[in-house]
Amino acid sequence: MINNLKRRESVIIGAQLGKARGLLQLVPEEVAPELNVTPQELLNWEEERSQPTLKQLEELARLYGREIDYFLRETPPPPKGIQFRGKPGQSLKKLSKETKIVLARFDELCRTALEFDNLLNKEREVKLPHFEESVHPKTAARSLREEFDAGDKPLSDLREQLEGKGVRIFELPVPEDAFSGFSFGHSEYGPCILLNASELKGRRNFTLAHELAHLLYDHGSSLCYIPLKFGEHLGDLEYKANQVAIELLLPELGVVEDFKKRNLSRTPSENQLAYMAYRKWGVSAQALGYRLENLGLIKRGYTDTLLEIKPHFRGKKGPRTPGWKKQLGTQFVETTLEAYEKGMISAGKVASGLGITIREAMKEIDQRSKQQS
Amino acid sequence: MKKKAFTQGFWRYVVDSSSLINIEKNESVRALELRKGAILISERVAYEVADDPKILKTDPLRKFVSGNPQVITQFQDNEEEEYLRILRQQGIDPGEASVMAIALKRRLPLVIDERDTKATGKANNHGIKTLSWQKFLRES
Repeated sequence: MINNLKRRESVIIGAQLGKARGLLQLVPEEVAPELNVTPQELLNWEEERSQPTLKQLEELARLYGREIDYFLRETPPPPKGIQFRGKPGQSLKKLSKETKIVLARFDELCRTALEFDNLLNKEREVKLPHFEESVHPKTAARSLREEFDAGDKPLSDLREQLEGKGVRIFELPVPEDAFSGFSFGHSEYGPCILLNASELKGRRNFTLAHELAHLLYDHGSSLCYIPLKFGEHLGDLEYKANQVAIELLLPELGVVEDFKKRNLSRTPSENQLAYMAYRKWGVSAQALGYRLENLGLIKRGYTDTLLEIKPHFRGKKGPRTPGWKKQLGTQFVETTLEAYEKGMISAGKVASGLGITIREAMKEIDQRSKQQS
Repeated sequence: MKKKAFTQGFWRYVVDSSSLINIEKNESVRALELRKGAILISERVAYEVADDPKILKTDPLRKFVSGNPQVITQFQDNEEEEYLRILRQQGIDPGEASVMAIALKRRLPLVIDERDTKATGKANNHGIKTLSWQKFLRES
């Protein structure tokens, strides 16, 4: 193994090394020991006075949550000025290393998605409305429901609807439940939303609507923790985003009608509430509970007496979609396979793009070609 | 000159991950066993087909690679630099870039899944001789 890449041609872009470290807010003193080098040596790489070995580069990619090619090409800047709208005292610096890696992985997914779109010459048109701060959450939600042609029915396909409007949405498991969702509008990626895949589907759906509200009101890069108890909200913007989410996912007329049809009492059982919430409205039992309280349909304070209700009824029948596919979303998976089919990316790139083994990637490629033939 | 001919004659093919997996799917890992002296894979490809913890221990390809570590080759001379140069191009992943760099620098043919038009095209653009895994098996 050759230990030092020659300097005559700079293959590794030093600024990219600095950018990857900067997003994680790591100081050279934190990174250097992991590589058995001095902080000055790390800075030398970033300033292209010397270059790391391939092994060191691979280690940097692992530490920073990046693919190696991130250090070989100029990439769009990561989101800046993240607002922490959740746990008190939270900041980028205070997030655990593992949580920060999730943010880097999200940035990598957005970058990969943009790269594949560009390779396929796909213009991503963003068709989201924007609202002034003075617009009431109810008005904003109603306008969105009209746009989705949803009437007073449940919005069961919110993710697909938003992806169709140019929003990039991914799910990744977030360690220690550090946040529920993260959203930002990016000059090159467009609007992007990350959801905590460790949370239950109902909560994720609510977070999606909540993050959407931040995008619609131009609240900037927002990293949010949405507590189960609504009373614990922090700040006006979080309250507003929750209001939009409630109005969007649980429209008054539809919910009242459904509640009456079910003949539920003012203190419905946990299972009745969970069934109505998850199966019909795609939200958590808590979210529905608070909505029903506000509409005067169930006893005030009743929801707080319930712990986090997990649905224990049987899931829908049929073949299960693998977790990674759900997290990445149909649109990204389809774009990746299309890029392979059109000879824009290799099979290995399909695997790394989708975060699966090359065996799994080849299986997906075979399945798709069978379906098409 | 003689030495070069010997080297080329001994290590005859560099094989990528997709080809190895196709060979495994074709239940032809035995053909690899028979030609284990004639194939080379990069460390990255070894990871992708055998060392990745997600791969089952009973997997035939994993058994083949762990039983024949001599098929794994490290980068030599300026192959690292070539690897990064290939990887810098869009649409190629580290496994494919690594075998291309080795095939290019050692002037060896690359066994490739020819349905993978991106990898095949990229290899041919670099002047690497490619052959399909089916042809490789026929020649075995």
